[in-house]
Amino acid sequence: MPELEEREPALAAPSTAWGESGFAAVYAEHARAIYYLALRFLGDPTQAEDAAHDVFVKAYRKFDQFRGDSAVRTWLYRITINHCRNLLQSWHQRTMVTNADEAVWEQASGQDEGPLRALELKELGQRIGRTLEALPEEYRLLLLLVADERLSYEEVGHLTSQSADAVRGKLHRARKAFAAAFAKTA
Amino acid sequence: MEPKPSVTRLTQKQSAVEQTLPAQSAITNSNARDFNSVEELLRWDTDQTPPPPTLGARLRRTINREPRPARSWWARILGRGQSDS
Repeated sequence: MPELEEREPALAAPSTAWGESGFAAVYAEHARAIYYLALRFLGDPTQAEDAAHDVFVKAYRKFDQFRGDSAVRTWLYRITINHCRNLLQSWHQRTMVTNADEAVWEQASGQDEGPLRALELKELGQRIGRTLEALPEEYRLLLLLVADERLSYEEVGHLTSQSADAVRGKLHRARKAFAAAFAKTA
Repeated sequence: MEPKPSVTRLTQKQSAVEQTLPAQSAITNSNARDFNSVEELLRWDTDQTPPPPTLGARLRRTINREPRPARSWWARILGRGQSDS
């Protein structure tokens, strides 16, 4: 991994609270993952930037509550999930398909879980965003967390309030639902 | 990271096609790619999605206005900081 000074020279200044606290290093290591989760959770880059900023500020303020029982990444994810959920509730935003419509996604069970082919990579990010927005929040969050190779199924289970076995079971359905929705965005 | 098998196959297939139909296939297939799983696709997307440059600077300004913590994050995480008192 490149030195912090090479990646974020302005962020590594040690003579400030930012630098002295060591928080600059925390940000450098986890910013991409936290911003990405917020972006795909909220679906809007500006709101995601605001959310990521607020998540890191909350983390800084609450650092003394971090007991080290989980990894820093997991702890930051938990703050992000709670923060984004609160934002969505306050905005009265809803996913396109609620849990009550889960039968819709069960119909995707025939979807092939084979490779996902993307012909235009330059537009792929937008397709992924549209696909995730079309999924129930539970599936969206599950896929985003499992995609982070730093997290075990147990940790994903803790973050989503379920067992690791439940994660495995729902993940299978979430993958199929994603593949079905992704195909529709082509 | 090593390319996944299907990606390698696609690249080889593309090369063969492009040798026979260089102009058209270069346009239609130059960016094509297979992803073996949703997770792989999302990891690729994460790699392509850096946080905005303004985020770090903005956060730094905010943190520098905050009261300084009693001891650093890393000292706490690594268990080598000062006492909790």
